[in-house]
Amino acid sequence: MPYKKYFLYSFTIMMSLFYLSACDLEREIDIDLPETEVELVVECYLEDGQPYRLALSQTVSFLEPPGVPDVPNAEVTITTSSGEIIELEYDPILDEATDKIYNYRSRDDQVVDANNIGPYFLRIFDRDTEKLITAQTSFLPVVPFEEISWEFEDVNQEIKDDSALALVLIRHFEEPDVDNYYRLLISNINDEDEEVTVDFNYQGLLATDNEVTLSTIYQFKNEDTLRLSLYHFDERAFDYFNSVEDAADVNGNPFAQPVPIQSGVEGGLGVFAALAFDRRTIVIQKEEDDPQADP
Amino acid sequence: MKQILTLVFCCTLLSSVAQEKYTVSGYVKDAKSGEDLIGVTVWLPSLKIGTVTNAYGYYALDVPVKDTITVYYRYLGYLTTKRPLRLQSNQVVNVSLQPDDQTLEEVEITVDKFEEEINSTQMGRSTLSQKEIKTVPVIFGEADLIKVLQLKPGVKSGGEGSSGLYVRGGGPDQNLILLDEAVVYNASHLFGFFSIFNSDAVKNIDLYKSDFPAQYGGRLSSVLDVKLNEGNNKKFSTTGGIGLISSRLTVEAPIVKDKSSFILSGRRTYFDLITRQINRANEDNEDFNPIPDYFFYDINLKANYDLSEKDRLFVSGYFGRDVFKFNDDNFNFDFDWGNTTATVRWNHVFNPKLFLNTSVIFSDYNYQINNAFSAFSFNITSGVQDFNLKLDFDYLLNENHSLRFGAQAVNHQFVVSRANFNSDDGRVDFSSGDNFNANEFGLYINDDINVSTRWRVNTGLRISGFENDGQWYYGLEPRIAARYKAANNLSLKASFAQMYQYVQLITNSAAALPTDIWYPSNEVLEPQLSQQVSAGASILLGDGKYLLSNEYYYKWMQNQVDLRDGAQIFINDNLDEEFVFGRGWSYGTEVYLEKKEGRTTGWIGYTLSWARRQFADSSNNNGPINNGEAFFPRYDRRHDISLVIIHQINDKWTVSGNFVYGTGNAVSLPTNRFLFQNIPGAEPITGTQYLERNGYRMPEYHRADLNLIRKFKPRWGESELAISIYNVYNRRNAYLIYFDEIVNEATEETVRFEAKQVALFPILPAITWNFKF
Repeated sequence: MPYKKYFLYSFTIMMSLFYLSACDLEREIDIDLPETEVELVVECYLEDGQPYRLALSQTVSFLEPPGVPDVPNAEVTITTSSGEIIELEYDPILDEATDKIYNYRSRDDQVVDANNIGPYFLRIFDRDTEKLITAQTSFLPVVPFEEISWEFEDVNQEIKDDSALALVLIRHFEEPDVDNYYRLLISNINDEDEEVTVDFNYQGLLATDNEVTLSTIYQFKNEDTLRLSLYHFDERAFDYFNSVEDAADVNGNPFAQPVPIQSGVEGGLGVFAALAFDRRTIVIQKEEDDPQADP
Repeated sequence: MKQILTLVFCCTLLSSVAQEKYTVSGYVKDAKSGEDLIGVTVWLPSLKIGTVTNAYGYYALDVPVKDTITVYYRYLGYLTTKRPLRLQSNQVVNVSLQPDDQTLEEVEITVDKFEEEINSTQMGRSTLSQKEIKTVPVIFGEADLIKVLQLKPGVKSGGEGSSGLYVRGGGPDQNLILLDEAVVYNASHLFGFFSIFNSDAVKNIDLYKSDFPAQYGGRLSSVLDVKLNEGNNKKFSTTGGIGLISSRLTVEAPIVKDKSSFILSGRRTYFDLITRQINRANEDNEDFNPIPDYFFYDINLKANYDLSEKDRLFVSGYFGRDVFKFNDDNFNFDFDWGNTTATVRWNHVFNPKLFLNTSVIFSDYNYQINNAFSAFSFNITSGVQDFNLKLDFDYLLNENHSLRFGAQAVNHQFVVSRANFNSDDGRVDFSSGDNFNANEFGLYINDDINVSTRWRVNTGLRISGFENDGQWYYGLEPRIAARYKAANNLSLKASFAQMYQYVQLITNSAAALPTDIWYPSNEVLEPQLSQQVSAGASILLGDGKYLLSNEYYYKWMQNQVDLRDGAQIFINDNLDEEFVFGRGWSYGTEVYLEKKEGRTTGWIGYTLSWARRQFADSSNNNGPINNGEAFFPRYDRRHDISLVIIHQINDKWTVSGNFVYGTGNAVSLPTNRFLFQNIPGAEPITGTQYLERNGYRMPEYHRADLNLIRKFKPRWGESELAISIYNVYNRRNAYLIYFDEIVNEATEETVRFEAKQVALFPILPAITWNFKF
C-alpha cells in the first residue's frame, strides 16, 4: 500500500525534527525596569514578653543585586494605650531563635505585655527621605486549639509499613457574626532542623456550629514532632500577608493577574500586628489509639 | 432613533410601488450529500437582480414578468448552474449544485468569488470554508476553526496555542458563539488549547466583527455563527481521522432517502490512555507521582426531516466534556466541565416571499469539582442554563428589498459558586453559593434595500430587555450599514452598531478558565454597552481573482466590569461587592488581501490596533484598578500580520503554510522587591511589588507553520495523510517572563535575581490520517 511508505517517511521526519528541537525552552533575558519612587517598608510584630522591635527597609528595583537598602536614620516610636511612648533605637541584630533581623528595638527592659490589648500606635519618620509611616494595632483574643488529632492513611486500608503518612486535623472555636482572621503554622521540628510544612491564612468563613475544622494532607511520618501555632490578628495584617503571598505567586504564573500589595500601614508598605496565638507541640504516633495533643 | 424608523418606513413605502412580478423561490443543496447550502448567490444577469440563500438554504427572488429568464446559482467550491425558466406564475425551483471536483457539460466554471463582498452592505465579516479549516496548519495537526479564524485580521488569540477569541479589542466573554443557534458559553477544551468544534461536523462559519445583523444580540464584540452539517440524505457516508491528540469519526446516512437524514459525529482525546500506561509501569516506584487522567470528548448529533414541501424539521445536539480526575485510596479529585446544547428547528414557507424559522434551544455550561479526602468531601459547581425560543422571519418585498424580523425570549438559570463541605461525622457541614433566574428578550427588524445600483442600505433595530430579581433593563440597539458601489469592482461601506450585553464572565485570571463564572446583570451590575463605527472599502483586483479590503473601526465599551484587587470569587455569597466598574475603547485598521480561485489560494492580513481599559470608578468603595489609570489589556497588539497560502500541487499533493507576526502581549512584571521576613516561625519570602498592570511588552511574536497533505484513493473510498510542522524555524516565542531568585545551594544565600523567558512550544511535528468512504 503506497501510504504505508509515506507514513514511514513522515514518521521518520517527525521524530528527527522532534529530537532536533532541543527542549531548552527557558532562557535568561535582559529587562530594563522603569525607575520608580522608593518606598519605606516596615515589619513590626508585637509578641508577648519580647522587646518592641521591627525591621525597617526600602523597596528596591527587582533586578538589583541581592539585599535591600537599610534605613538607619529614622525616628521610631510605639505609643501604648496608656500613653507611654517607647522609643526604638537603630541597633541591628539577628534574633537567632527566629532567624529574623531587626534594625530598630526598644531597651531590653521594655517588653510587650499582651495583657495590655492596646491599641498601640506606631510612628516612623525617616529623616533622610522625610517619609512618615503610621499604623495602629491591638491584641485580639487568643483562639486556642480545641482539638488536634492525626490519622494515618492506612487506617481503613491495607496496613502499610513505616512509609504510611498521617494527616493532622485541628479544630477551634469561631465567634459568630464577627470577621476573624487566622494563620495556621505547622513546623516539623525533627532533629535540629525545623521546616514549615503548613502555612495557611484563612478567614473563619467555613465554620459549622461555631467550630472551624482544618485538615492537612497525608504528609507526616510516624514519630514526627510538630509545632502548631494558631495566630489570630486583624484584617489589615491578614490582607498584607495574603497580598504579599499572592503577589509572589503571580511571578511565573501565566494565568494570574498582578496583585498589588495591600499595605497594613499608612505612608509605606508593611505590617504592624499584635500577634495573639496558641501554640502546641505534638509527636505523631502510629500506635496511638486515641491521639490527642499535649497542651 | 426617529430618523432610523422613518428611513425604514420610507424604504418599505417605496418598495410597494412596483410592477407585476412572479416569485422564484426554493432551496439550494449539495448534489452529492443533499446538504443545504448557505450563502449561494442566485443571480439574473439579464435583469441585474439577485439574492443569496439564507441560513437554511432558502431563497426567494421577485422577477418582473418576462417570457423567459435564466437564473444562475453560484457558490464557492461548486460548479455554477444555470436554469432557464419560462415564467408564467410563481415558481419553486429547488437546485442541487455539483461540487467542483466533477465536470458536467451544462455548467459554467466562471464564478465571481467575491461578488457578495462587493454587493452586500455587510462589513467586518470573515468566513471559513471546510477546506481552509482542514488545510491550514495548526498545532498538533488538530484542525480547529477558531485557530484558523485567529489568522484573520482583527482576531487575536490570548496566547501561544490558545483557542481564545479576542475580536477588535473585545474581551473573551464578549463573543456570541452559536452552534446551530445555541449559545456556547465556553468554546474551548484543555484550558483553552482546543476549541469544541469538530471540524468534520461543521458546515458553515461566519464571524462578525462589526455591523452585526439585528437578529444577533447579547454580546459586545463579535458573533461567531457555526452551523453543523445536516447529514447526507443520499447515501451512507463515514468520515474520520486519527491524529496525535485525538481521533474523530462521523457517520451520516439517509433515514428516508432525499427526505430525511442524520449525522453523528464524535471525537475523543487519548492522553489518559498513555498516562495510565505510564502510571501502571511505575506502580512499584515509590518516588513516582501518578499522573492524573485527563481527556475530552465531543458528540454532535443532528437529524432532519422534510415534512412537506413547505415544512422541514431539524433536531441537533452537542455534548462535550473535559474530564480531569485523580483517585487513590484516600484522595479522590474529579474536575469536569463542558457544554450541552440542543436545538429543534422548524422551517416553514408560508408563501414564496415569507419564510419562518422557529427554534427551541437549550444551552448548558457548567463545571464541577468533587473532592473526597479522608472523612471529608468538598464539591463546587458553577454554570448557566438557557431555555430559548426564537422566531425569525424572512420577507421579500421585491427584488431590491427584503425584510428580516423576529423575536426571542431566553430564560437564564445561573448557578454561582455553589459549594458544599461535609465530613462523615457531621462536624463540618457548610454550604454557600447563589442561584439566579433571569429572563432576556429581543425584538428585531432588519431592512435591506437596494436604493439604486450604487446605493444599498441595511437598517436594523433590536430592542432588548433583561430582568433579574425584579430589576429590569432595556436597550435600543440600532444597526445601520450603507454601501456605495463606486464601480463594478469597488464598494465603499460604512456601518454603526450598538450592542448590549446582559451576562458577563467574572474571572480573576489573565486567561479564560473553565472555573470562570457567568453572572447576570443586576441592580449593582449594569449591562455592558458598546458602540462601534466602521468604514472601509472593498475592491476586486486581477480580473476579480483578488479581493482587497480595508476597514477602520472605533469601538466604545461602557459598564465594563473587573474584580477588585484581592477579590475572592469562590465561596463568596457577596460577589456584587467585589466588582470594579470601568470602560474600554479600541480602534484600528485592518487590511486584507484574499485569493480564493486557482491552485494557489490564501490571504494576507494586517491589523494596526489599540485597545484600552480603565477602571477608575470607586463608587462601590472598591479601589480602582491600576490606580485608575488606563491600561492595555493583555491581548492588545499594535501590529499583527497573518499570511496563509494553500497550494494544490496536483490531485494528490497539497501544501500549505502560514506565517504570523505580532507585537508582544502586554503583561505585568514586578517592578520592585522588598523585605518580608514573615511572622516568627514562618519562612521569609521575597516581597514582590507590581506597580502597573500590563505595563511591559513581551518580545515580538512570529512563527511559521507548514502542512503537507497527500491524498490517496483506495478502492474503499478516500484518505489523506497530513504532516504538519508547527513553528517550523523553532523560534522560542515568549509565553511567560518571570524573575528568578538564584540561590547558592551551599550557603543558601541569594546570589542574584534574573529575568527569564519561557517558551511553550518548540518545533512540533504532527501527523494525521483522515479517511472517508
